[in-house]
Amino acid sequence: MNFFNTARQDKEPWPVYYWMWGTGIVFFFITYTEAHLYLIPYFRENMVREIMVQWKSYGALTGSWNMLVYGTALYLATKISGCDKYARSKLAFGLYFLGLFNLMFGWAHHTYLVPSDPWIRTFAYFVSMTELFIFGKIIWDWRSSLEDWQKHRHCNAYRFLFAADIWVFANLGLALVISVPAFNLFTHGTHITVAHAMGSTIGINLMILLASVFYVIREELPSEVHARCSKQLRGGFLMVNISLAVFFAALILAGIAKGRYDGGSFQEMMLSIRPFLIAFTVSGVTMMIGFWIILWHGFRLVGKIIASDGIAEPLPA
Amino acid sequence: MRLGMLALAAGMFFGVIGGFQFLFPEFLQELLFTKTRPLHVSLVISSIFLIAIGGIYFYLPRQCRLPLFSVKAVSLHYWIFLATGLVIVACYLSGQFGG
Repeated sequence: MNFFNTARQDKEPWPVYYWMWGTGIVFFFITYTEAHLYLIPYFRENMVREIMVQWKSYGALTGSWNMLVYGTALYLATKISGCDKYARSKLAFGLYFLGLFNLMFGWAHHTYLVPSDPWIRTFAYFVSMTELFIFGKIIWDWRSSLEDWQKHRHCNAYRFLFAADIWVFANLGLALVISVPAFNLFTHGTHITVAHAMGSTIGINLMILLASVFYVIREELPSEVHARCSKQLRGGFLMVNISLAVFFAALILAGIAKGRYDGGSFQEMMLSIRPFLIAFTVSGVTMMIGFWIILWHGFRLVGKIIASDGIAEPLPA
Repeated sequence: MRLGMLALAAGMFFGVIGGFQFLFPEFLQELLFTKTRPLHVSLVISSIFLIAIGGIYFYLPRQCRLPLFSVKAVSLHYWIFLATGLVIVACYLSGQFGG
């Protein structure tokens, strides 16, 4: 309500990020409500219906927060470049409509194993692949258009968006593979699904959101980031991304081994993947430390902004 | 945004504990994997929403020059989110999952 009543004050045609944010808000409410339909006996009493609705709802819920995050990414791209075209281009709106379509129908790749109608699965596969690719292309094109001074001015935000771009392509590769129904049969329920989920959430969503945090900090406290904590932030950033790469690879390798499990001793199979799980755990710890370094500075500096003038107040005209 | 960063830090902490419990099932019996996993997932997803929404609340008035329709609603949103989040975390920690 607050968002729509605020945004409609803008009489100009809305840039794509307003559309994305609004859509993310609306569809969050819809999909979160869907996720609670199990409370109604009609859904709970039929197992196939219950699984379809649950898996569908969480897939679409992911789409709703992706809308919020993509909108933020395109907003940052616009502001860092100083050029509105990334938010008003046909490609950007193409991404928006594809994202919306994916949000509404792409959930089906979560329900390949449920005995639903076959056309749903085929449809889901084609829808799922297009979205990530277009998003990666937008950010890639944006990066190549930036001049050095623009990259340096918002060095931390740019750094995180750059990482997000790389992770988009890495996750696209994995998503392409696991969305093929024949491969999905082996990867479903393995660590590969975890690699996809965490690789996307951490590598794409969190990188974009941290770019947002440090963009805000750079705008409000321009001297602080460069002067005091740039080295630590760079260190944290490298620690996170290197750890995430090890984390991602370890989960994929563990998942491949688990996917090949042919019904023999489960304990032997789990023992065989233990080295990968150890690598996963250790890289998880180092990734957490890297994030804590970044988050400590982000938390501290945003606190300074709030203390100085109250963050929700509009700037004087 | 700060609440989101706190949620993320806490979510990661529970994730690491969960990782250790995956390797060593006897690790930290007081906080079983059945609790650390939903704590991890719920906290990190909450952090995504919190940081994204915090960014939107920052950008609209300050950068897009659109005064917020209701600053009180922002405050209410924050406190409801925090209160329900704390209740959810308390429920998970005490093993109350419903169903």
